[in-house]
Amino acid sequence: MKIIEFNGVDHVFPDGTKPLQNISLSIEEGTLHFIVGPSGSGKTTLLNLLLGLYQPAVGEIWVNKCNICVLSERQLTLYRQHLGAIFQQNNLIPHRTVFENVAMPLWLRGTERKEVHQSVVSVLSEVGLRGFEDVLPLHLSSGDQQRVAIARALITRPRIIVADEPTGNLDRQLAGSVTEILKLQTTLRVTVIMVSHDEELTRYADTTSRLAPAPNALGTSTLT
Amino acid sequence: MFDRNPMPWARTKRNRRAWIRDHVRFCKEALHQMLLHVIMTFFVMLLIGVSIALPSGLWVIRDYLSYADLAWPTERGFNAFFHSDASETQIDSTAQTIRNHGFVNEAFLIPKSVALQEFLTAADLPDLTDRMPENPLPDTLTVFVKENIQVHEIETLTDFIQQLDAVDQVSYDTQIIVRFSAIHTIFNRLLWVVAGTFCLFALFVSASAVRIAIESRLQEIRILHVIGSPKRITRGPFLWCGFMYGALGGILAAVLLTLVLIYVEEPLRTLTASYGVRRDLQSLDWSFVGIVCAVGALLGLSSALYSTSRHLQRVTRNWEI
Repeated sequence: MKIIEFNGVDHVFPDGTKPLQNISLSIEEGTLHFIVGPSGSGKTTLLNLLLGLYQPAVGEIWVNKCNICVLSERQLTLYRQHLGAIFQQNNLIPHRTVFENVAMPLWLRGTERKEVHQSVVSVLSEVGLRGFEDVLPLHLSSGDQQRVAIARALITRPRIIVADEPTGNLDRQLAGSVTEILKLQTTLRVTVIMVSHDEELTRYADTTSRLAPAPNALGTSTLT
Repeated sequence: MFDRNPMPWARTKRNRRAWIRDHVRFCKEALHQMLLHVIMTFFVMLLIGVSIALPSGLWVIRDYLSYADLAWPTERGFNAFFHSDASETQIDSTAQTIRNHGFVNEAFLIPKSVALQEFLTAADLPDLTDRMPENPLPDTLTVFVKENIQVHEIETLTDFIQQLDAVDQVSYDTQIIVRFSAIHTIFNRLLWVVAGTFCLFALFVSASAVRIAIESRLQEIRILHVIGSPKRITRGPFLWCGFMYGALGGILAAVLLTLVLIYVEEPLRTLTASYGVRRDLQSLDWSFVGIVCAVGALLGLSSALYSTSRHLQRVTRNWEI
């Protein structure tokens, strides 16, 4: 079943730059989908469109049978609560402990304290960080920080996880282990959309899309 | 393409306990933020405190002095002088007649012997009594009218008193009333202007402090935005921050006010006692301290509301992570 669909999406920034043109893309439920492309090809813009952080100039984005382009700001907030988001950097709040960073999506939902504690412990065990609850992110390695970000994305058990270069700062071995954690989620029918410039990692992917600069269009990319 | 557009994402129900937990967390975060920048916090509180203390202090002094004006020859009080040959019985019955008048609140008789003694003591001539063949001063009745009585009604009253046999003269100067009333109005209007100006200043200071708090936590705000934080939760800690700046500023204002009024209490008491009025200063009253703190908290909260609605929107609209 298709869970995400982009239909002829164009995006234009306020300064007139057009990073994406005529993007059409379908992603099946429970798959690990990779979006690859060179730097500046609009990979992050594509994910921000999917997160509802940007509105497309043209086209539609359907997620779980819902056109997110017509949602109000309040509905988009609710929509984002049901996604898991991981970024390359600035993922964690530095003055909050690992526990607090991971628990944050549950706080937004008003989950009971006991349930929050159980879920955080369980998800930290899942990513191999049990015992690091009271540590500040600054005292963790880059790989462990990404694991914390993954734990935060997993804690609400979302059906879709959006990951923007989560392995960008990691060495090959750590990048592999982070991608494996995400790949594992697909066995639970979770759909993972991962952006990367590392073609090597596409071996984990079920499907892959490539963003390439459009001919005769300065700074604009299309999907190939 | 999909053919329907419902909202497939259910809203989680939040109970009262979750609401309380949120606010406890916001409060802790705001305290953490304030303690992290303790010097800035102190100066913000001080500026808010001074902004509230100045108009409040003026209000307290005006209120305090307004009791003293009961004894002044205002629209509420005047003197009636008796004939020097009026008998004690005549004076007492006339005083009683005046006290029974509908416009009169109270009236005090000052016998001429007491008036002379007070005059000679004030003039530092205590020995002069023996050398005077007779007391030149008349017996006097100080009359205070009721609060709601108008000037034209007082004129009716003075005319009535003037026509009484034992009364020689009624001292009632309308010019003084007009002047005093004008000064009173000017003072009141100035008080409102000062209060308005300083409230705006307090709002500006608190809003700037909240804005700095927002700028220092941009990363957190953006992360919260991505993971679907409602506006209420994102701005909660900042609203608490503004509330606490204002409330603590209010407490500081009450302390400053109390210290200043303790300092000026003695000369104020001397001044008002000379008009026969004894009263405690209102700044020492707990309800007054409560009002000052509530005003501070309200100012802080309003400024935080303004600052968050303006700057958070800017941060989340110009998205870049």
